Amino acid sequence: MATPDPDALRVLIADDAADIRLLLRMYLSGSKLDVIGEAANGKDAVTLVTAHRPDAVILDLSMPVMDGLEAIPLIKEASPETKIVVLSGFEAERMAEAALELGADRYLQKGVSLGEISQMLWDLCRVAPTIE
Amino acid sequence: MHPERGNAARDRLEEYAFALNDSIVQGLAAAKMALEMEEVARARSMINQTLQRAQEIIADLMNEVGTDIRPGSLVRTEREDAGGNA
Repeated sequence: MATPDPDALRVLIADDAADIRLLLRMYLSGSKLDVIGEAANGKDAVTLVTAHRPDAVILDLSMPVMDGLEAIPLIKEASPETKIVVLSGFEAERMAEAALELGADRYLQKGVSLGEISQMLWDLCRVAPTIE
Repeated sequence: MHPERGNAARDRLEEYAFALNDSIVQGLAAAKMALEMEEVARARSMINQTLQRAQEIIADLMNEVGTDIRPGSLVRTEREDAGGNA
């Protein structure tokens, strides 16, 4: 098992689309981001955040069992320092306000590039690593 | 319209909106991510699945409204080019 990089951001991915989870994991793992877990619904996301207290969560909104909007306040309650980046297919105009009011830190609409997601996580949590 | 029928119609529209989000938007977003990572075969597969799902949703919608297809029914008022350039 690989030793975790102490400088890496610890990120949880919560999305019911397995393809999106896989692609995010593949990309972020190459960007000095340590994906500490994946959840396919809001309830599992809350459980994993409580257990691992990641630096950030990438959170989909439309999910089974518990949706992202329900999960946001529970995540903040479980781990107030964890940043929440909502990544949703819904138009920002329609959903961003509700998500941010509930405690999300940023709202990204699906279709945004992987590079932008990675940069957003670094901007939100700490300074980007120096590229050597 | 009777209020209950109005609510049922709104519920159905909401259901289709969520189906479009879950299947089409998610599928295309995932395909775009795959292309960004140069995972071309994966992107192609995702686009094929998304296209199939889009066709199923359109078929469901047309069945629901009971569209009666006759000569002339398919004339569009304005051409929407593939790629979104009208």
